Amino acid sequence: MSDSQNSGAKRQAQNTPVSIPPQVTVAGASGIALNERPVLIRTRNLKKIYRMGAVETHALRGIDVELYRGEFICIMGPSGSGKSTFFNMIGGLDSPTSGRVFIDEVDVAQLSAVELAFLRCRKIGYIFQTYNLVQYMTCLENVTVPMAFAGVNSDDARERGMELLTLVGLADRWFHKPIEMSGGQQQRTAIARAMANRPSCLLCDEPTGNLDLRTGAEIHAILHRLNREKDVTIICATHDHRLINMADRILWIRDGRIERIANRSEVTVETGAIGGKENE
Amino acid sequence: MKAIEIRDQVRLPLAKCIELVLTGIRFRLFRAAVTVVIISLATAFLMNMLTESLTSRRVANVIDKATAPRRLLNFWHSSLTVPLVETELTARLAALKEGDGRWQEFKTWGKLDDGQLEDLRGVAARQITYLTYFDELSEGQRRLLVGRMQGTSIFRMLLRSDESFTQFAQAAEKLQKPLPPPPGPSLSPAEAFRKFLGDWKNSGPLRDRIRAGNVAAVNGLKELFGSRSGMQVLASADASLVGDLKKQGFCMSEGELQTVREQAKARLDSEQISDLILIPSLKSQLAARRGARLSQVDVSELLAEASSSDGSKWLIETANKIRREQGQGPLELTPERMQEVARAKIEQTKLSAVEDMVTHQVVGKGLMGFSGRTVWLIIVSFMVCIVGIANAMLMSVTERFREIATMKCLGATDGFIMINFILESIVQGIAGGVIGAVLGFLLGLLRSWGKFGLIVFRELPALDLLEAAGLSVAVGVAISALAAVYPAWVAARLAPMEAMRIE
Repeated sequence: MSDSQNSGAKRQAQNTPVSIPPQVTVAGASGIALNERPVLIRTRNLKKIYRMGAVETHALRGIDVELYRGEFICIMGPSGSGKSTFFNMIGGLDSPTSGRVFIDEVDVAQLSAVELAFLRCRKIGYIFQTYNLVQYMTCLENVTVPMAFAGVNSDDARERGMELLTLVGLADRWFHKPIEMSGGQQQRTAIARAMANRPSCLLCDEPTGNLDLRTGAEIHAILHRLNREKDVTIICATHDHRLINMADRILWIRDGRIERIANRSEVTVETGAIGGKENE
Repeated sequence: MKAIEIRDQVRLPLAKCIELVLTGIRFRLFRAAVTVVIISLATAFLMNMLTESLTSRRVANVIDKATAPRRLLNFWHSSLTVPLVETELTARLAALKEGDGRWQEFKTWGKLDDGQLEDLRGVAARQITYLTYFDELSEGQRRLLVGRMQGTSIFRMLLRSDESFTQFAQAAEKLQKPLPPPPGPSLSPAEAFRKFLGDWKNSGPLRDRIRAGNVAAVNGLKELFGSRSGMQVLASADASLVGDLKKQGFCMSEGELQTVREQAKARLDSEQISDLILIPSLKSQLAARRGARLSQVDVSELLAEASSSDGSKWLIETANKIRREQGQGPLELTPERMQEVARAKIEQTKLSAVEDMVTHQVVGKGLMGFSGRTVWLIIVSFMVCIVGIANAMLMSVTERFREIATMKCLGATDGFIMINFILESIVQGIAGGVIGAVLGFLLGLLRSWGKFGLIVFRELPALDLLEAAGLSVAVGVAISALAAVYPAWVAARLAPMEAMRIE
């Protein structure tokens, strides 16, 4: 599908904005239609109020949403819209002022701090815009850190780590430190690390924000592959149109409320071209 | 669809924690070095004080043991030749122990029974306490209380009338330095002092009796000794002398007899040797022999010559030649004896120098023989260190907040983060403590060497010093762990969403 899409785009290489035809199906890897799939994350009237002295900021004003297993969903929104707050809620990184967040039908607010740590370790993988790798550990050691927290012994951890690095194409760089790697390689290490404990979903915060277009495309490909082949739910906050292009659904947040949720098929994504070359 | 089973997050084993901490420190070596330096300074300070205190104590003990025989000789020599004066009597009374020789002597001389002597002892002890109190007052304070009186005249003045005592008591209350506390709870300090004054007055006649007896005894001995000096008598002391002494009331034990005799003999021989320097012709010959100028030749040169086998032979020959010319008999010394005595005298001179130094040391009343001031200084320095280390760690936490938040996202519990930081601090504490203990020990040793000389190296209280080192390291670890508690808590409370920056 991606190939036909790209060749189609190249055929239309001009100086005008190119309209990318939507992906054919929203069925995902297992072929089940999206709204018939089990719900991974559900929120009920989610509200978050930040109090700084006398000032109250309503970051989220009641959000009801259901995110399905195995889907690829992108969250968009302008700065200050509550996008990051929403992201934190569903990732188990923060607790709401009122309302509920259910991850796999478990109310996150009921969990103790230790149980939350378990959740973050095993069920959710995080990918950051700034990679956030540990600077004094090698690539392989970085990938095995979550496994250490999960109680995996070091031999198994190393084996699985190498598997993951092979998956993202960094097997020959396992001994490099982050400072010796390029941005794209660091982000790939981060993806491998996020996948360490076979999480149910990946939370990506602007994964390609600091990368150039070509490297970004590699990352997109990996994420897409993970979603399709390993049935990993991917939740991205991004402005990158090509990532949005791969999504099953897109969610717009504005002013602390959901403005719109749409399937990819209902949306037109347009990207610009420079000098006739679209992907450079 | 299976709901996720939430279990408690696995606790990371300690070995793994330590591994992570060590890798982290290697990476942040400079920041770690700063903390290590702070701790080693504090530990060095403590260890220095401990080393100096321990070595001083050990040197004092050694000196004490080494000079005991000489002091015993001096004691007996003066006891047998000089009657007791009031101050000496008071000191001895206060130090009385029932059953030893002095107890018996005082009973005999004063014709007292045990009870009376015990009372006298109590009065003497209190007298010393009160006299010390008055001595420790400043000049102005003393003027205020008792005018220009000093020592026992104070007691006499206060006994003159009730009025003078009441005036004194009132003035004493206003002073910042209170009177010594009373022995029992039923009396106030002023009342206790008043009671003491009464007892002191009453004890006067009994003390006079003791002194009278003592004077009679010493006079009796003069007759016994005849023309010999006290030292000569002691040098040839034997059991019969002990019997004669007993008749006059003196009690000398068997062990004391032997030591006193040896010491007296050595003293006499030593005087013989030192007196040789007074012979002019011998002095000039000695100068020529040693290749020194006449003015440079003194007793130490003489002793140096006398301590060698050739030198002693030469000295005796020369001295005897001179004495024969002057019609005197030969010296009563063999070369071997001369060497022995000369060497002992040289040793003694060395020890005297150290002894002077030791008596000038102030033994503090605080913890471990430190003065209260030193203890306070140490506590303050540790508090400063704790604040400094906490500050450095807080900076470290702030620098690493992204790393901490990421760790939390990967599954670290709050407890793990806290343990991580405290462990880091403990490792730095151990390193700093060991370095500081070594440095402090060396510094303390150096200063002790400067004060007491080489004797310090010969007599090192090794086990005590090792204990002190262990204590210093433990203290270093404790303060670094303590300092890390607050920063570790701040780090543990950090919300992982700090790591997510979506803008």
